[in-house]
Amino acid sequence: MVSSRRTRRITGGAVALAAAGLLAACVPGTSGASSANSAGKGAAVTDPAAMGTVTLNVLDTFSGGTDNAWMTAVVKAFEKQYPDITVKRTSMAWGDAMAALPLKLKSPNAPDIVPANNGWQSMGTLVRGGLLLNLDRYAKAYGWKQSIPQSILSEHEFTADGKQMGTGSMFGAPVARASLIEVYYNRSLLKKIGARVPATLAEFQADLAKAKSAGITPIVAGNSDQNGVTQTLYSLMNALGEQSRISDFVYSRNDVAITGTGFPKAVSTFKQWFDKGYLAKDFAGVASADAAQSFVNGRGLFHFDYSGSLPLKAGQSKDFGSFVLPRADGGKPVATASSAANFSISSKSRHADAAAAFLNFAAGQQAAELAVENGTMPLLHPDVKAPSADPLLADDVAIAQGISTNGTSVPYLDWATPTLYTTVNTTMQSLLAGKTSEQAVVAAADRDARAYVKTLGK
Amino acid sequence: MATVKDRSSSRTALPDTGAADRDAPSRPGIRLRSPRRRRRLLGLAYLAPALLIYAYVVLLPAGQGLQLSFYHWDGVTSASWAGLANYTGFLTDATLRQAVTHTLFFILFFSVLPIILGLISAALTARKDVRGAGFYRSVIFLPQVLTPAVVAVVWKQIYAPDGPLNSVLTAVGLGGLARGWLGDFTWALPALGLAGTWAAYGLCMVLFVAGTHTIPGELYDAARMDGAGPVREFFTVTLPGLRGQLAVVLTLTLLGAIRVFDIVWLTTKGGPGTSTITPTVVLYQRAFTNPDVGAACAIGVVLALVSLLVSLVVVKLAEGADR
Repeated sequence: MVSSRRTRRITGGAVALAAAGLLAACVPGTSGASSANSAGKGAAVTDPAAMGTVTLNVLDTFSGGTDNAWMTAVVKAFEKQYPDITVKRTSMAWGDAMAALPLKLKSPNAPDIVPANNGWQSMGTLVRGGLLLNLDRYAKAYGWKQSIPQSILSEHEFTADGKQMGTGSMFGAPVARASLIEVYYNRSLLKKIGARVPATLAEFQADLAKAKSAGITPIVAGNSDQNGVTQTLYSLMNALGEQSRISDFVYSRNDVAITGTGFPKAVSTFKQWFDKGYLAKDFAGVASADAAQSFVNGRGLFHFDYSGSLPLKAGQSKDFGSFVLPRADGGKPVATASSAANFSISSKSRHADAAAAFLNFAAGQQAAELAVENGTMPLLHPDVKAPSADPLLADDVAIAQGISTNGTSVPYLDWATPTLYTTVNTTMQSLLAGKTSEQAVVAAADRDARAYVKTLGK
Repeated sequence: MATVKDRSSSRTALPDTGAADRDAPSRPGIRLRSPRRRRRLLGLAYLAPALLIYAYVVLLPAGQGLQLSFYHWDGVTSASWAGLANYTGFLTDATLRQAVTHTLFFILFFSVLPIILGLISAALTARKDVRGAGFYRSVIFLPQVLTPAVVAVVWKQIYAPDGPLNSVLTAVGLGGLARGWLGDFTWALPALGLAGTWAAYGLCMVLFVAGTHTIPGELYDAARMDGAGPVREFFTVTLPGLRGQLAVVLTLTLLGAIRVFDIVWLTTKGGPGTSTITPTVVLYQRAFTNPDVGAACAIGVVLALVSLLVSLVVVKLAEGADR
């Protein structure tokens, strides 16, 4: 009935579309980054009186719960100490923030401080694009390189040309709150099987077997949303592999391939545990958040998860404890750990001095104390004491102390490439469904890593 | 946001042209020296506001997307020319190929099944009024009112290992079939497909039932006089009478099947493995989580072209049959 007009309209649309394409016919993206990433000249201003009246726009991912409580407290304390600086916060969900960061940082009114995630997926790419400020001047002024343990510091460093992670200049700073992978345990169920907190990996595996034969789900986990494998897998890798080699792999240095990290052993141990029925029966069909909830409801002995991620109601934390999976060789436990956020400064920020002052404050002693006050794990300040009323938090604080004093943290494996997290998750699902082999999982991760390192053009 | 704007602006744009073309000459108050040219300009003037917005929120980004699809770009650093490499991914990339086959599968569940079910409902209610039909209709139409996020949460719960579906199976003695449906390589895809059927069925039914009411009752009487049974009646009277509705429903549901994203992303993220992955999920991953913007744009361009082609073919078919 309207065919001829319709055709005309479509032709018109196609012409307009082509015209729009031609109008925008310059190469997308910014030009090379290296020049923009130098440390900058002139002295860094650390004296608040010299900064003037400033409003800092801060984007963060601390949108709810204790995250938000801590950040709110830190901002309040900061504004008290720096009365001329006002902090204007915007919170976004984690995934949304990472997806939006490139566009936000390119816009003329970019936020001053952004929560770029460590690793190549977010921070590394932004450094290569020249969108983040080189913080070396401030690191020197505030003494960050001395006060922050090397294993944490490396997680925020890139070379100025953006080709190497884990060394070079600071393009972000940690906050005084940790986020690490740990094992939660149910205190009463552990007592029920007559075990204590395991000190060795063998003891842990014995506990798994005991729980299984007592009819208790040994490990509560859920993976229908592809979010329930890495917590256990990375813990196993840290227990079976060598700390320095894991870091080397993630930072793509010293020619360490993923096959040299303990990853292959972790994959096969994971498979063994799965085959022995140590993981919750419904592992594949339950979402990770639902699994965490059912662990809190008392439906199993152990649960691997990020610190502070149990959906606890008031008064429930006394029922649970936490530890880092012990190493197979009996050495100090190694944890996949980082600051709860990496805060970077936009290279466009007109208030870099004030922003750096905030970064320094968020990594400071008071911020660590506020972390404990708000019931979350502190970082960088091993001397912060846990309140006696909360045994789970006491465990968490002890873990944070351990990794800070011993320097036993490794970066998240999936920081190594932007796609590794997806690769590991999809292939592990196939492995556990019996659709592929352990070797294929390792080979897929290896291919992923090698292909990405090639694009760095080192 | 963009899609909402896109829809409303195109909706206002289309009737405007028609109204301007048809109404202008018959309007007595307007005297024109060169009526035809004046009429065309007037039409454009009516169209301008909508067209400008449409160009800004749809055509311009579409043009940029087309351009980006010829580059390798991580969204941040400078892009490099890719030629057709992003498009050949449809042939060489195993994940993407698998995603395309899943789309065909989803067409069955999001389009074919709901249409068949809708036609059956229409056929059953076409002959006589069913008591309380309005109530049933609104219940079956309900999924159309729910946002996809809610639909996803509901079905995630239904398919959960301790969810209602498994409870029912166990209660009737089929406990052996109970499983975590969304974590199962074989069953996750049909499970999501059925959720889509449930969501699309209401729309099909309401349109078809409404369509049967516009079919003149005499046709049914005539068919019955000639001795047609219910089946014969359906194929000679009801189905041809529903051709217009069929075209609308086919277009909507086919496009829905091609674009399916929300329910997959909110339940399985394309897993287990890649067993429920769809082109739109791959697009999202490449655009936002694993930045490869050029490849994402290429998928977008192909999906847009396929959608355009599908709607053209459906409209042509409906028109051809009209004559």
